[in-house]
Amino acid sequence: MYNRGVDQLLASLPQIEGIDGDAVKRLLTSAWVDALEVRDQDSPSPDGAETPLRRLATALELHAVLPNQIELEMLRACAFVAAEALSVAAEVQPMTDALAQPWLFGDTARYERIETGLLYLIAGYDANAALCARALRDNEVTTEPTGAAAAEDWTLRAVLALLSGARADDSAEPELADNTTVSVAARHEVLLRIGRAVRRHLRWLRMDEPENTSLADLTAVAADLSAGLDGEPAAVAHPDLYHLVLLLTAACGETTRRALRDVPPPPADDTGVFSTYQRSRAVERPLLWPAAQQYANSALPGPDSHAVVAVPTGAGKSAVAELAIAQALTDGWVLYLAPTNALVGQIRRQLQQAFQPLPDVAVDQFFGGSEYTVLSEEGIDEIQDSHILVMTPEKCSLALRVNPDAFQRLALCVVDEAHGIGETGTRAAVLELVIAEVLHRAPAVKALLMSALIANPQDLASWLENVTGFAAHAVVTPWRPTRTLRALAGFDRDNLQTSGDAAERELDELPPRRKNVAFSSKIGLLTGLQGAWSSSQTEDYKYVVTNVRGALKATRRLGRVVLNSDGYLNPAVGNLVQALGDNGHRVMAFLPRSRHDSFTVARDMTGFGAIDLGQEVAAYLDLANAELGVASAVRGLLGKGIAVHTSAMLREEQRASEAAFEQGQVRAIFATGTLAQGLNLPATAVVIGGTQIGYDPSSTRREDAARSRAQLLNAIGRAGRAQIATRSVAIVVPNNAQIISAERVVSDTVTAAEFLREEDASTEVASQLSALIEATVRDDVELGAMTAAEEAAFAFLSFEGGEDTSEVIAKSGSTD
Amino acid sequence: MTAASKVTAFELISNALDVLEKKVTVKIAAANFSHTSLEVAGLDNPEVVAACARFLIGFLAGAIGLDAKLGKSMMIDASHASAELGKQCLSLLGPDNKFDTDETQRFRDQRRNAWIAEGVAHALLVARAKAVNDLVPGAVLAVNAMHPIPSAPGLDAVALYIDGADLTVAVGESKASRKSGSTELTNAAGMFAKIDAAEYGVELRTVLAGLRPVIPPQYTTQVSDSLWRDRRCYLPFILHERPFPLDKNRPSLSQLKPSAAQKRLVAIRIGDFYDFFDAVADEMRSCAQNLAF
Repeated sequence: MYNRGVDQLLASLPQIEGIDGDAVKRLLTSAWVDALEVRDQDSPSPDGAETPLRRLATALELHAVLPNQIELEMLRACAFVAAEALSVAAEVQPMTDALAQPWLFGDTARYERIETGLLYLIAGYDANAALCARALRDNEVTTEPTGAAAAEDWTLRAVLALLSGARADDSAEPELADNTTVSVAARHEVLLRIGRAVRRHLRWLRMDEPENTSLADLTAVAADLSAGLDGEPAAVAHPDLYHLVLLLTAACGETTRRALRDVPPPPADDTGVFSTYQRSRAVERPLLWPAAQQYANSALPGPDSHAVVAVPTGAGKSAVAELAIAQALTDGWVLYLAPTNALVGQIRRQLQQAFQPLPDVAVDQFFGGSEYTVLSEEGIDEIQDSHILVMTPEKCSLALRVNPDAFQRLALCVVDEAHGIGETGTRAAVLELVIAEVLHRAPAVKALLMSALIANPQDLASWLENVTGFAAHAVVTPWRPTRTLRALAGFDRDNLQTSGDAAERELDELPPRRKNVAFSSKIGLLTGLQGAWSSSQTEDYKYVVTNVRGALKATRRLGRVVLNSDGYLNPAVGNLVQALGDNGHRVMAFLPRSRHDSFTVARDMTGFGAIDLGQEVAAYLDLANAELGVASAVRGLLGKGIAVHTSAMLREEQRASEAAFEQGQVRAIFATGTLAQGLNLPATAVVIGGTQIGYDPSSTRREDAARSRAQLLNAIGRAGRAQIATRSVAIVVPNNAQIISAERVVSDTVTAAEFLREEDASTEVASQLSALIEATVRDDVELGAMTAAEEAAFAFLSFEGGEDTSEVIAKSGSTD
Repeated sequence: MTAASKVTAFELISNALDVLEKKVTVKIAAANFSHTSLEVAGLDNPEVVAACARFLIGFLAGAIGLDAKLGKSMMIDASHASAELGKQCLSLLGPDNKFDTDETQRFRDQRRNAWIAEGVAHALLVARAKAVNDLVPGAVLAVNAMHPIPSAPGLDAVALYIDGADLTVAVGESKASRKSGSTELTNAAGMFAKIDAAEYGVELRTVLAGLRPVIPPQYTTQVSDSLWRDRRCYLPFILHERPFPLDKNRPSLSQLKPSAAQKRLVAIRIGDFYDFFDAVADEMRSCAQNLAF
């Protein structure tokens, strides 16, 4: 469940016997697996009794707050584990009303939720903190009717705003009630001081306050609370308030270090584009995530250099791009390349929203039909400096033909899913050559290459640096705001034995003409307690039986009765999706083998009840109906809470599915692998049905394997969007049914899905054109022997004039 | 009483601790499978009774004085503090020692005596920081502030002590019952079982964070180690009159995680149970008149 980013963080944990990174990950993941909604409650957890989550939280939280000085990384590590332990404990061992005691902000259960949020904030996981605040809002907060209740409410609202990154309300400070005790007056005053400090901090983050005084204010409150009788420090008389102040001080310190407002403006922001963007964005998203912070430190102001951003899915690549764009727009226009039309559309919508406060900035997509074939009717002859154009590489190659001079004023070229350069086939060649030509046509352009899958970002940075003369940085951070449990599904051995025996007996008793008896058996999940399944230690895996069943048959074959799992895959995926969805998950299911599978499985499912599709989705479906001339099949599926997304659908149908899932109208979306490419959809569970990707006649077996691995890892990355859930699950259902059990050796099982062993950033990206360039230089090109990629490259380059051709080749990755 | 003869809360507490250090003994009485029993002697001594009262009134006055400082922008001053002390004494002790109805007897047993017992436990822990005895097997480094309200949620007493090289978290639960020491011990064990089950997570984190200003810096990082390794000491303080067996194995205590050496029954036997509490209360009422804020 925990990736390399967490490994890196946990390396800074204090040295306490029994608390090392691997042990912590095992403990937390194992506890969370026990809380999986689809776990069969009749099958006991192999771990048995209580896990020491709250004890772990208490130990590490106190390590974070007690010392006067603590190294920043150790503080973050302690806070992260404490927050995660409390958060998992809230799911596994919820504090019931009977256990919760009256406490500051209501009761101890509620306070613990706030504490969890603050610890996440201290650890740098603000999206997780926001979810804690949302959980409290959903469960409306009411404080105890004490004398200081009004001040508690007022301060609580500020604390919740800090957790959720929202704006604190401007309500007036509550008055102290008449005839209160001295103690109540003291608590009232201290609470107001805390509330004021937090509100000032929030205003500062939003650039509404010039000075950040929160740390000094909170430190003063802490000092006053700990003043002793004789002027010496003493054990504090209001430890609940003091504890809150300690956590808030650390949280304000952490958020101060990551403030968007501290990103320096570009050298010539005369039009105020960046400062307006910064101010408007700080209202919604005032904090930088590590990728953006690292990018700002290395490439801004400017951008003055190229960057290759290799960070996990969901780690804030879009925010990096926005930051770069907001600065680059002061110096020219921006090109944003993305591999699919669906992604181009989503990026355009996101950028339009982000730059909405800037009326002079136009965001357009250069679009048309299929992403890599057809010409488009849109012209690109009028590109202003304040323009952001989003398109696929193929459309960009067209743009380069139509209006190459427009690229003179290009300031920034963002390449999303940049690992495409290293993939096989014509698209990779085109992407590489498009980038090369852009670098040639736009002498001052800075490139921003982004991907979750690149294993060698420094090589790409070196390429950019060598061919342009501008500095280039690799922005590499494995940090990710969410955690994804990797699981592999198979038939539970014990259950299969029982149900299989019964089916065999039944078939034995039937006349010989009966060839089959259908039956079902429970599905088990083998889960990894570390991140990637690289460990061969049994203790790093946990097996649980689910309450989901898969279909099998007992079949007569050569005079014997055997168990037959043919065709088990799609129904099993459907059942898993149904069960996860029934338990409140938002499920993204990939059926990459064939684009027809998605419709078949979705059709066969019960679904999640009739839903109101809403105006936007209905409008897309009306458009689809008009284009098809008949009713779109997608409408019926959406109507029962299931979306479908494949390349066999019209764009309007795809948009209807995307919107319905994005807006939470449907619980599940079935898709082929294309949806794995970058589209941000809010899933809390991913089910991958089969590890065989659709056939590509132009690829070799090895290339197929690499493509399949990248697509499946990307699919796993779709699970867990920070705004929806802190933890998520990705379940792989292999093409060939597995029989698994707690005793089965992991290495035997993982062969069914080898890609689970790898982290996402595992694709070495290299130029696909080296051989062609070398052959060309040797004047040894044989047209009949060229690969599809080389043919595409030839076609691309044939448009160029002589000098331009050599310049483009010189800037391609093959020259590095 | 003139202003010149008034004393401060700090002086009251210091004087009280001097007396407790000299006149009260805490010794191991028995050790068995489930726990270690300690006997506290000397509480009947009139000087100790007065010291207990001074400790408690000093604590109350100190807390009110600090609150007055914290709430000064709310127009709270010394006169409010003085009036507040009077109100708190009345609320905690009642106007006098007449308890002739069920309701007043309930007040006596569940509020007044319970709070005074908590104060005695605190006083013994604080005194252990100054002088060596068997209360805990090491020097006390820090003790939490007592609740000013007996019904306030949370843990009665929490202290840190150093046992050899190991920092240990001591949790005290005080009970007062004239005749039912054994029952109260079982009740206290129930609370400790909840600590074992981590049901007091928020309270423990909060109260230990509240010790931050007084934990010697070299020990701050050891607290987490103690908590993670369950290095805790449970101290049930049982104030009683009728003796109950100290050397008997107690299943309710043996089920708790700490070792027998770290489950220390603090048996505080008082010759005349109600006289003791009445005397402490009277002395407190008297002291409250003479406090300077």
